[in-house]
Amino acid sequence: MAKPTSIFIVDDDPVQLQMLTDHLSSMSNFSIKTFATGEDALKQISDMPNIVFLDYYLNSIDKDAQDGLDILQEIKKTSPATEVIMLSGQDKIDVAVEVMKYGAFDYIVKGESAFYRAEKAVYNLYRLAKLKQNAGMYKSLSIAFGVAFVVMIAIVIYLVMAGKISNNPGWV
Amino acid sequence: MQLTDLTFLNSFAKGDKEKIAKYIKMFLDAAPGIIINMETHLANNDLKQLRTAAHSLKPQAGYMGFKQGESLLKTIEQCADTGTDVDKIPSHIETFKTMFEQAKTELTTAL
Repeated sequence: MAKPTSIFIVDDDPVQLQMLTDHLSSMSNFSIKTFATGEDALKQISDMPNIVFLDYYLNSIDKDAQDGLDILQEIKKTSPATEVIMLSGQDKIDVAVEVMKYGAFDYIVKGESAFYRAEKAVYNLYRLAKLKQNAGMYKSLSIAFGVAFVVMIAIVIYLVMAGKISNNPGWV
Repeated sequence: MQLTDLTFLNSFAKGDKEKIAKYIKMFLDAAPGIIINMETHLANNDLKQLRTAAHSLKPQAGYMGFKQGESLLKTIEQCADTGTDVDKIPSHIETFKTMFEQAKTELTTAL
């Protein structure tokens, strides 16, 4: 995941939606889009947001709206690199386990501490992205060093075999 | 007795009166519709939708420091979810409506 700059928030609770948007906006200059239903968010998933905050129950206004678990699976299918953080008003371990099983990065219970936890989740994703970036850089450096070493050995062998340099160090 | 407490909202908005007023207005706009939905779902014996409606209002009530309302919504949600004490749901909704009217007055004063 690249630096998390693009965020979708999907929630049918307008107060939660607004408060989370304001809180994340105060953290950094994120590009934030908000949606009341998962279906609306999926219409714009081609934007490939870095993070989606997704409410577990999305049918309090539109009773036919798909729930968060269905939308999570759709997002993971369409935009696998997008990290999904599930929001829910229910503090149930089985729900948390279920959403993690379907690929959610974190599960946050709505309430006063939810905003701090959302901030931590974004920070953790940012740190993870940095670690992945560094790991990629070290891997590339290791490959480059390995190739350079093999080329150097090949040149030395060639020069020894061609008699351009002696394999006698000179003090023997 | 005061039913609401804006301590959390004040802390969250870092004392920004405009933001606090915005959240309060959003809650006061959304809650009456959700209460009507709860009554309709109860009348239709649609416990699943009743649970969803109570569930959706619960965090908002909490943010307004309306803790008794939040607790009552949790009770309604649990009754509707498990199917236990369903006969008590109408009185829980009536109690919530009465408490909401007081909370509304308090929150409107705070605007």
